[in-house]
Amino acid sequence: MEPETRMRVTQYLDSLPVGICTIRDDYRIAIWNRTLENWTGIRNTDALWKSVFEVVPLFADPLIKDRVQVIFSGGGPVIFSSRFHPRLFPLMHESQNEGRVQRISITPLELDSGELQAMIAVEDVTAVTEQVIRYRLIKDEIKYELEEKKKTEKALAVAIGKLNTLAAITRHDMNNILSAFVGYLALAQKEQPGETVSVYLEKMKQSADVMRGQIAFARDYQEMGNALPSWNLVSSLVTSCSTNPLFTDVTVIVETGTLEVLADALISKAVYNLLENAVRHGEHTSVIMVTCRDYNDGILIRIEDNGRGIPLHLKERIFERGFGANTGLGLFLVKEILGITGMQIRETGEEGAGARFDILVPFGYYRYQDGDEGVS
Amino acid sequence: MNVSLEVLDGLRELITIGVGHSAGMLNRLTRAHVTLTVPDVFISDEASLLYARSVFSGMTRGEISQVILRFTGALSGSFYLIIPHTSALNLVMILTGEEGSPDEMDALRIETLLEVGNIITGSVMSALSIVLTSRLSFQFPGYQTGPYDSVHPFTLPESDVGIIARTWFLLQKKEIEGDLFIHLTRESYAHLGICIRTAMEKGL
Repeated sequence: MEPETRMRVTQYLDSLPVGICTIRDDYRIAIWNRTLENWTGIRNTDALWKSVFEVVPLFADPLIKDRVQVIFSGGGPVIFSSRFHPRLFPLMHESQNEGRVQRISITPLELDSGELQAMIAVEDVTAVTEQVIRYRLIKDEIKYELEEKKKTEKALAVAIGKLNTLAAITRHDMNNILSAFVGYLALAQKEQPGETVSVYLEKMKQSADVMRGQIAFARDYQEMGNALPSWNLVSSLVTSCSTNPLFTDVTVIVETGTLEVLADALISKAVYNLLENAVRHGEHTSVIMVTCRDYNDGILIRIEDNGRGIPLHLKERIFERGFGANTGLGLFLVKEILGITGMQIRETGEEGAGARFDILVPFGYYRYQDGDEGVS
Repeated sequence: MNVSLEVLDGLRELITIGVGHSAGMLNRLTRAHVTLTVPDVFISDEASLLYARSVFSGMTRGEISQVILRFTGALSGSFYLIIPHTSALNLVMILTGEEGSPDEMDALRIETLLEVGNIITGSVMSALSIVLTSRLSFQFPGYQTGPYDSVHPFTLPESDVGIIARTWFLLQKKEIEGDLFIHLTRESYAHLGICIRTAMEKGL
């Protein structure tokens, strides 16, 4: 190589962030760039024209030597992976070597003169290697946790199954006993007891009805969350719930377009309960309107009527357990059903102007069919 | 395609020399007992996928991993080491002594497989170079993975020739099957044939 050309090539190679050296077929070093000088502390002038085995002793290993020989025997580039050869070029100070990892590739370099040299490129891949190892550890941890979670889920499913069976049997037995109790109560009432006893018997009958309601409540509550949530078209839910004869004299308007919500399997019961409340407690409700709009990151679904509304002092209590439990599922259960998929409900109407239930559906739990952007 | 038995024998011998040499290197590199054998060598100019499927019947389902070495000069073409992806992962695990049952070929494992592939392809190319009279130019080896149908190299242009050498890796009583596939232009194949015949006449 002409001295001028050689100088230019050396300048290029010195600017690279990769250690570069070239060796001739007699294994003498022809180029030793600045990055290698900095890493190894071996000056260019001390490396040039010396045997690579002398300057980088690991190259004297017969295996490495055989691999390098592949270049000179026409076999193409050679790769030394960091896994099998973590560090062929030792760093300047012994303390720097700890944990450092190199990847080395050697390519044939045919000069204009026809001479074949081997160009050795040394990359410091310590950071990448550490990152991959960290990634493997994280992946292993996640895998372990998932396996543990699966085991726990399996055990939980068995426990829930047993509890469900026990609860179902208990409810069934209680219902049977309650039927016998109510039957005998009816017979006792026919025996024309005295006035005081009749009052007691009537109170016993009312208590039995409450008990039957609570058993029904327990059944519904147990069913909640048992099945995986699914996507439900809001307009279909409202329309199918409002076909009940209870709504014959009520106009139900739905303006939710193709909005779908991810909800528990009992969502239709929750919607029915809200509509039924509007009619049963609204006294003169003639219109129920269901609309939706964007709200922060989510969607707000509004169910409002033109009934008598809910008194201010009851607004918070209506969602408590047991409130209105005698009529349908109760708003407590509605709140619980919606809550399974992160939906929140609150009453924002004015007494005298009608009830208004706002359901806030969080981001990710609603969507529009066929890419529809929503209701304009 | 009319393949001369002389050329086929010569090729089989050169590939066996290269593969044997690479097995020795792998043994020393990994300190594991690695046996590499080449039971079959096929040569064809069939461009059809059907041909490849019949030869690579075990690999046409699922993903494959391949190390590629492209070259030009007296011979122009590409050299592929092809292994089913799961087998490639097993191969790396055994050679490196890693424990567990990872499902992913991450960057470090790819680099390791690249070195293993490089040892084999480099040794075979060195062996082929014995009969060549001029040097080849090489691109840097590459790695590819994916479904067989999207990364396979076997839809040869009609004018090209494919050399397939079935390869068995036997390590720690585990057998891993792979294939060496050398894709050559027809001129390159003709030149290689001449070189093999000349070398046979002279004696290697």
